[in-house]
Amino acid sequence: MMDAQKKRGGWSWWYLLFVIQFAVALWPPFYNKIEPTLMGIPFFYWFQLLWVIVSAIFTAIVYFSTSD
Amino acid sequence: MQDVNWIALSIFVALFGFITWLGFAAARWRKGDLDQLHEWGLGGRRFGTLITWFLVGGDVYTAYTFIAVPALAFGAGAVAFFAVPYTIIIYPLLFLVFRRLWHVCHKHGYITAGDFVRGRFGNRWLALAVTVTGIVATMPYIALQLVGIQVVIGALGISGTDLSPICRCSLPSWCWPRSRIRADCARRRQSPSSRTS
Repeated sequence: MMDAQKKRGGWSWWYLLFVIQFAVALWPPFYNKIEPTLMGIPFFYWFQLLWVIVSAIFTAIVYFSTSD
Repeated sequence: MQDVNWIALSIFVALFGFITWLGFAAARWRKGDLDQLHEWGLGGRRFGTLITWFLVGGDVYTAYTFIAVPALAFGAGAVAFFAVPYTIIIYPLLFLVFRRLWHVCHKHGYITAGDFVRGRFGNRWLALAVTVTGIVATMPYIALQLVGIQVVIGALGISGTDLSPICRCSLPSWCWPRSRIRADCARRRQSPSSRTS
């Protein structure tokens, strides 16, 4: 995938990782639950905070995959 | 002044003094020619990954983050968690846009959003509209931050009425080196080519 587009500003399939995190973050019914709790914290809270870390990892992956 | 929390106030003053000292020390470190607008406004475009990391941190962790969002969480509950998906969505968007924007602005020597719009679309009225919108949209945000600072200082036990005259007098004169901006604008009017220097 990486060698298909070397030009800066070109399309990369790695950008689709962002679609995953957008879809997860923008659809509250997906995580609007109490169970399963983590150390007493409802799923609604810890799931969103987990996705902060996941989205940072996704952004790092896209950055290192698309930088020239 | 009876309600002053002296421990919290001491920590606040010590940190404030340290940050102020650090600011003046940083201004001397790798000093640039501050008569040039891109040196004054953009640090000469020399910020690397680490400094940019802390700058973004400074953008995120404001009085709004520490006061308004927790206050909303205590007052209204889970709705305050809008702030978390917001960061999850906004940072990849900025990552996509700003990388390109930085390269274009670096190549053409743009400093402000108005510079970019004027260079990209060639319309000075559009650039003016973008600039004015940016200034007007920043006003309520700054007002919000000042209210947040007032709440923070209030939590130290100092009421807003004690401090507001001092803030009104000292803050604007510290924050806006107007003479420098005016001098630079005059220079740019005389020689438009100096912008890319």
